[in-house]
Amino acid sequence: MKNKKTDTRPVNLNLLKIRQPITAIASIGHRISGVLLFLSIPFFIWMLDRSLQGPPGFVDVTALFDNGLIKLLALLFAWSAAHHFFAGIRFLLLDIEIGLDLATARTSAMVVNVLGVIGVLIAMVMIL
Amino acid sequence: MSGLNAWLLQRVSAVYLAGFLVYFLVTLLTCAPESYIDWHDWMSSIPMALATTLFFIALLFHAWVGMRDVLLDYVKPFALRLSMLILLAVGLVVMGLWVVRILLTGAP
Repeated sequence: MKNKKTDTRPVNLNLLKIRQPITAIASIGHRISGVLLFLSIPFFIWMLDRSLQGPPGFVDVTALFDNGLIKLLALLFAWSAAHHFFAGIRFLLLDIEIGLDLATARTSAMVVNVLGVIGVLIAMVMIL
Repeated sequence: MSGLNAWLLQRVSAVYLAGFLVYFLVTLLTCAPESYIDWHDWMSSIPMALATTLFFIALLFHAWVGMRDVLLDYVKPFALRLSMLILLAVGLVVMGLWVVRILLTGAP
């Protein structure tokens, strides 16, 4: 065991200063988007419930997207869904040993990160 | 559920979720139900009702494995971790029962 008092090596765990590799960004994005998608489940079940209760309920749900806050949440959801979808496919491919070498893994991570952003852009065009 | 079972369940459910969502999204983009009647008829058709039920079953199990992994990674105090896992499980079961009620009693 090292004596803690004599260990003077610098420690830098400032997450804002550490530059993460692109594969790590795809990975943590998958995790963050997963949690956001989990939190969105009750809202979607509510929309399913309301929209099937009758014509007024259906209109209520379609009218939800007139609200600015809902539009913002929809964009957050669009990123989460797109990133989680594509990063998930990337992980499934890695599981069956496709794209394991570093160069390919970096490229696919970049593609996944970009596709998440493209998902938001498409959602923007559709709802704004 | 843990270990290899959870790992496998996560992947099998992922494949089904992805397939269902692609079908759902493509349908919404190409021939979106414009009225309550269209929407209701689509959702209450037997194949779609079954596929949607299976979707939510897969989704809730997928969410369980994923959220469980997140809690195990970041929540270290045992009592807090256990409470949050129980809360998560109860929440998912409630959501599952809610969906079953919608699709079995609400739709027809």
